[in-house]
This record gives sequence, C-alpha cells and structure tokens, in this order.
Amino acid sequence: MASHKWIKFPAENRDAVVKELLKSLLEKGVVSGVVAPSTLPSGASAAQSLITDPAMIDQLNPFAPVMAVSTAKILSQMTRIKPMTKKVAVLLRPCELRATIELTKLKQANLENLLLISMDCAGAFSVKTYASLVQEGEDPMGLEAKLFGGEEDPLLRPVCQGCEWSVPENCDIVIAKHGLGADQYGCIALTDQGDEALGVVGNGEAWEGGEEARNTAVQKWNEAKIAKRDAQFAELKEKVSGIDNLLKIYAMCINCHNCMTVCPICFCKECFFNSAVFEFESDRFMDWSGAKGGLRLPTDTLLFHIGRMNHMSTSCVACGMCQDACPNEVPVAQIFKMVGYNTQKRFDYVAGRSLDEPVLLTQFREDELHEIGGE
Amino acid sequence: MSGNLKARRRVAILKTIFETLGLDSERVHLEWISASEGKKFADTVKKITEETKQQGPNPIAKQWSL
Repeated sequence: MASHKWIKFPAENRDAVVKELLKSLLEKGVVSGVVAPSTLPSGASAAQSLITDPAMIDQLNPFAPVMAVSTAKILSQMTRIKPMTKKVAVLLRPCELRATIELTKLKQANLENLLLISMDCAGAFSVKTYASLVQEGEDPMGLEAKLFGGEEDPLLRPVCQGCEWSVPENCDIVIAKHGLGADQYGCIALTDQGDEALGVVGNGEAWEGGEEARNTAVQKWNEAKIAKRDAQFAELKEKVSGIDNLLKIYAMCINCHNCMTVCPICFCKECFFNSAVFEFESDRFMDWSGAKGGLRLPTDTLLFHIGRMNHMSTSCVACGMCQDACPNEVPVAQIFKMVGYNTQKRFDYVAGRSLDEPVLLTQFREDELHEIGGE
Repeated sequence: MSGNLKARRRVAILKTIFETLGLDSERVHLEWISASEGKKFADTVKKITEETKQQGPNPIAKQWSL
C-alpha cells in the first residue's frame, strides 16, 4: 500500500526507534497501554509486560529473541470477557499474531482497540537457551543479524528454523528487515490505524520504492524457510512413522500436559483428557491389563497426543510453545506442526492467515471429501 | 441436519493424522446409512468384517505401552 508510511533507520537504532514510537503513543494519549517484552530482573530473560507509564518504556526489550508465554494467550486473557475499552499497542511475533487471529475466530480474543505491531522474525530461542546465551555473554541481537543474513543456528527453536510464516501480514505496523541492507531496519504501516500511529513520531527517513526489494527479499527468505521445513518434515517422518516409532518418541512423555497448558490454541476450560471421560473404575484397568498382560500407567499417553492433534491441529500456528514446555524434550511441536500442516493443507487452510477464513471445524460442505465416504 | 457433514471433516482430519504418523488410516471408516436402509447396513457390515479379517488383528492392540 503505497499510501501508507514506509520509513527506515539505522539498524543500531531499532530498539530506540521502537521505544520512542511506543513512548510517544503513550505520552500523546494515542494509546493508554503498551504490551511488549521487558527484561526481567535476572537480566537473562524477557517477558511480556503491560506498560502504562511512559517512563517505564525504557525497560522494554522489544526484540529479545525469546517467547516465555505466547502473547496470544495473554491477549485472550485480557480481552475474552470484555474487549479493551482503551487503545493498547501490542508488540508480538508473527506466530503470536497468527494465534491471536485464530483465537479471535474461535471467539477467545477480541481485536477491538488493539494496535498490533509485529516484526520480520528471525526466530526465537527457548527460555533456557536464551538465558544461557545471555549468561555466556552472547549478544542475541548479533545472533539475529546472522540469521537475517541467511546463516542457520542449531540453537534456534526447531520450529523457528523452518518457519515459513515469519513475515507478518495481519497487523497495523511491521518492524521490517527484509528488503533493507544489513545496516538498516524499517517500519511499514499496513493499515490506516498503523499509519496514524507512525505519524506521531514524525515522518522519519522515507523508505522510497521499497516494495519491490522487500517482496523479492521476502520471497527468497520464505523459499529458504520452506526448504528447511521440508527437510525437517522428511527427517521427522522417518523418526515418527509407525506405531513402534511413535511409542519410542513419546516414551519420555510423563503426562504432565504442559504442552496443552501452554498452547495458545488449546483454549478449553476443561480439557477433554482431564475430564470425567478419563476416570475409570478399578475393574477397567484390570481388564485392559488382562487383555495384554500389562499396561502402561497412567494410561492413554499416545491417545492424549493424537487426540490433541485431532482436536487442535487444524488451528496450530506452529509457535513451538509446547516443545519449550516439555520437561523431557519430546519434539511435540515439530510433530504437531507436521500434522497441522497436513490437516490444514487438506482444506487449503492456514491457521491465523486471515480473519475471513472460518475455522475448519465450524464449517462443513456437501460438495467435499467424497473420497472419505458418506452419501 | 449437518452432523454427518461435520463428522466427515472429522474423519478426514483423523485419516490425515494417521497417514502423517504412518498409522493405518484404512481402519477408520465412514458410511452414512439411514434407518430405512437395512440392506445397506447389512452389506456394509459384511464388507467391513471381510476387510478387517483380511487386515488381521491390529498390531497396536498388543502394545502395552500406548
């Protein structure tokens, strides 16, 4: 959209430019609050925070490449019962944005009065990895520059390494990297609301004719990510395929259900797998064991994982939170992502891509899926 | 009356999951049979029984560590 603002600035000023923008929005009353990551007192992690005092904008660490809790889950918490009555600016990663869109369609979040600011995302590190990087004196920003330069980093969360949706679409403002040299960043307004917000800090240096260069760069970036994703899928498919492999891969699962708890999309107040359906009389256990001679306890480990795929994979945005939360490093996010990719592809759907595409399980049509049967 | 159409989506999703995980998606079967279609019901059950016999016991039934 040529009519909206495209500005650019030196790379080393990125944090300062974005903080100044957020501070001005607060000071001028354009927004009443800012949701963005702040450095925590340990210095070795960052968490989302709701800032209402402009003086506290300085503590923000807006691009810390770490996601402690999905911002989508936070926005659902803040807006589900009642939409924001005052405008709030939210800085979030593209997967968090997609999860927010998905939750909005599921009526678990409300976008009213939100000014959504997202970014070209090079990926994030797990909370643990980020903390050790900081403690070892590594500069996460330096790592990010390498990633945007096309280098791979095996420490990056695996789903981020092969993330083909790391350029945001449905937001008001994008903090942009693609299409600019290594020494520059930019801000792009995608909506009128975004355009007005960018206007509060003046026009900045115009990023003239950036669209073509950006499109080319985004395409190149996405192609590399898709190639990586396909390589990951191929490797994973080998590892999980068949019941013997599945039992091996979920052998370390301790049924803590952390993966479900942290999932932004798993919004049910009471999970089916924690419900009375899974409470059994003593004889049932004896019967099950009797049929095989033995029974893993607690029961239904694999059923939980496959059941969750059946319930939620069509809305999975592949944010990877589940894998970060797994105490035993079961590659739950990678498996969920591969399954979600296939279930969504079957219906030409992408979770969180658009508010206009209804969620799959609320829709049904007569003229589809004839190969499955029926009629 | 749309439960059958919703169910068909569910079955398609489940079969896709099974295919992705290398499990036998042929063991999931969907057929719509109305209360008045006695013959169709009988034929379908016969067909499924036949197919299941050919497939043999599901190896997953013997797994203790599911």
